[in-house]
Amino acid sequence: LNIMSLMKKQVHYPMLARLAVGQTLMVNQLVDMEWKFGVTVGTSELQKVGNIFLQLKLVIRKGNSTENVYMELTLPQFYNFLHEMERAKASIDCFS
Amino acid sequence: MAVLTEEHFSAFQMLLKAPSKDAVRQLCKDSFPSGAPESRQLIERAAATLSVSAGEAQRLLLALHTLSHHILFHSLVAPEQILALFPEAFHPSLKNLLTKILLEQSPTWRSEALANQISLPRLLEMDWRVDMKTASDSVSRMAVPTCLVHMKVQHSQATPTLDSLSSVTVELSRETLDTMLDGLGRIRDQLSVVAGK
Repeated sequence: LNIMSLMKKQVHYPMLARLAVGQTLMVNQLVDMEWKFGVTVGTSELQKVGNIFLQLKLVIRKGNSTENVYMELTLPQFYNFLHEMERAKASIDCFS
Repeated sequence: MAVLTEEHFSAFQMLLKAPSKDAVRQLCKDSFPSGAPESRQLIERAAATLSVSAGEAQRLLLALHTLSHHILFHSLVAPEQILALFPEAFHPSLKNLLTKILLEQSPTWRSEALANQISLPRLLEMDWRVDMKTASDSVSRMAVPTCLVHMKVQHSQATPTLDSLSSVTVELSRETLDTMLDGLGRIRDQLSVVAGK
């Protein structure tokens, strides 16, 4: 019986460790991101425009519920955002 | 948006009493923002500058406001297009002066209009940080990298104040960051397709 329980521990430990790590506290965890982009064709002030805009919806877990955060980015802002996230990924990949 | 009428052009005659060309320029600039023709302060200042009554000053401000917004809306960028708006018998020097001032100001006004258009809260700034989680209440030793992203957004208001800024910080696991980059990559690909068209 002792040997059996020892084997069980060895088999399950990595999985248990992964589960425990997975349960670790995360603050304002990003759970989903939705996006849409379009072109502004005209406004009440300017009959003809032609700007691309990007809208993001971030779904954030706060405690037991989620909160949606909406924002709009211009094209240069989007490329900057993408660039920064790529840098963050490069940084996080250093630890693999 | 109000339509340009004969009445507006007759109001411009008051500008002939302006002390200088710069005074006319200033009136054009001051009358542009939305709500300007209703501003008590502006009406009084204009009335004093031109030695007219408050009612007449307001009539002028409204006329200037209507003209500048008409030009902006229709993107009138050539002098001939603006000159063509004026009635035949309009004072020629005043017509040329107004045209010159409005052409000068148009690029600034256009940028302002673009910057102030209706929008979802605008992203102003973002920063990120990669942290290493080393322990928690359930695991005494670990080495789990995590990414924190902080974004500052501005909610559009008629008069932007400090209160219209808000910030949000989110935490992303490595997997979430990968998924997000996937999504952002797809946006980039779609944007190049649109740009290529």
